[in-house]
Amino acid sequence: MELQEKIERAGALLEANKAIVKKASIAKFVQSLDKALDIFLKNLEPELYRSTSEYVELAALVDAPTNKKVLTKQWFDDKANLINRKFAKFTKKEKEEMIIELVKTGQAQMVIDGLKTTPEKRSQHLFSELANLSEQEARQCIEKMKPKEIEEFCRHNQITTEHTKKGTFDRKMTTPHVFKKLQTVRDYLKL
Amino acid sequence: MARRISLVNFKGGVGKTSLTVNLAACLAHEFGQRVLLVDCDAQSNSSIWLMGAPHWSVLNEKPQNTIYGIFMDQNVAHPIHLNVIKGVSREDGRVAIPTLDLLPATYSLMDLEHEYKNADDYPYFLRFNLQISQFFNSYDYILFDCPPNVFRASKCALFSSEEIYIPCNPDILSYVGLTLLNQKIDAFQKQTVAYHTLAQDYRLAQIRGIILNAMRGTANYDTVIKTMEAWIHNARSSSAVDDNAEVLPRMIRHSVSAGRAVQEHKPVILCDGFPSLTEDYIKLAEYIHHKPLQRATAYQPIFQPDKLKKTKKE
Repeated sequence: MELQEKIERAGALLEANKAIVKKASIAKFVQSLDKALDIFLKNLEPELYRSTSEYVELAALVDAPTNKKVLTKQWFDDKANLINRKFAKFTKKEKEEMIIELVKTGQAQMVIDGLKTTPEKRSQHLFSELANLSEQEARQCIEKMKPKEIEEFCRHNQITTEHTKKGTFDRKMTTPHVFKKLQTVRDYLKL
Repeated sequence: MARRISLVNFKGGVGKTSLTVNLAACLAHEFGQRVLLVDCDAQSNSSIWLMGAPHWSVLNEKPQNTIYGIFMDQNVAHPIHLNVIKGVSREDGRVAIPTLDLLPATYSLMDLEHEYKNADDYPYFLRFNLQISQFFNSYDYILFDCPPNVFRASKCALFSSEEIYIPCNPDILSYVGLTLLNQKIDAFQKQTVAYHTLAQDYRLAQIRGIILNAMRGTANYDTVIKTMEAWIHNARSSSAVDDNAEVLPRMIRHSVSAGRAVQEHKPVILCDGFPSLTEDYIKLAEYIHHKPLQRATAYQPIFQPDKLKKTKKE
């Protein structure tokens, strides 16, 4: 008899013979079966969640070297809050546990979407867009951006920023760095 | 129905073969999938890797027993299903991964590029498709290891695939040619449009992503990754590129000792001493396995042998 059939048969017998099952000679077996099933389900559940596409995608995003800057301790703390948990350190095991919980509570997709549209990602997408425009078109777009936006854009795209003697962001001196990096990628795109 | 995936790049040495072999092995070994690896490269590296040089050398004398059998005179060639090596990966003489099969190549495949003449009714890619289609329902995955070009053997793979992944090293030289590759795929699909309905379960193959290979932990790949992302961003407007195409977040780390796996004729997953590399391949396989494929509607009707001849005569 297959395991599944045995479980079904045991379930049917338990249901049909409630009085007999309570007898001391049988009750201890029922108790150990109950315990074994608890352990089985406890171990099976994470495996089931681990084999979902949400788990796989979120785990990949959390591991991706390109997301390193986004995934700060604060980010992990925020996500742990979603599942009412606190982790002292975000070790590999704890991250895995957190992702499983996020999948289990149905919040994984929201976190995936969030990771895909973080300000960092938006800046990186903007960079891709600008790299596909001509220099003149890109220049027009950059000119429309506020200094704070350019500063953020540079930070997220690893572009050097310049500051005035007073320590404020120097737009004029920074934009050549932006165009230089854009031009490098634009030159490569022509290959 | 099998997911049919081609791994293509113009550039040599970007890890097409190592990715194909190890991806196939992981899908079979870790995820219990039935996988057929089709070696479409006349250099036969995947075949030599998995079969071992002594066995492959014997096969090299018998092109009718390889993938090239598809293109040989059918009186000489074996039925192609007999050329599949079942459970190709072995350890101490025993089958190590029962669900990983190989349709091997030998140097004879080079003749497809120069010697082979299309039979009247069957261009080479259609002939290939009609033969390979007998495996569509008996496997979960069919992976095509392509040569570093888009000549006939690659076109055969592309015509029978529905997904394309581009292995790249994180340097600008392996990026070079992506635009041309995209154009070639697009042009080939347009040129062959008359044959789409004649093929078995034809799907328009689309580039689904770039797989970064041989990543070194300490290096800064920002510019090259940005270039690839910008390329994908722009290329999504092409019919040969999937709307969700991406630089895959799962990347393969550089390893100097992976060559040992080739010497041992085993995929990395069966070798001792490569824990990080094994982990990378498993995670990549897992990611691709779970990256859902929105299948386009298949072309109808399914091929009827007499239909083509009739059309030609008309």
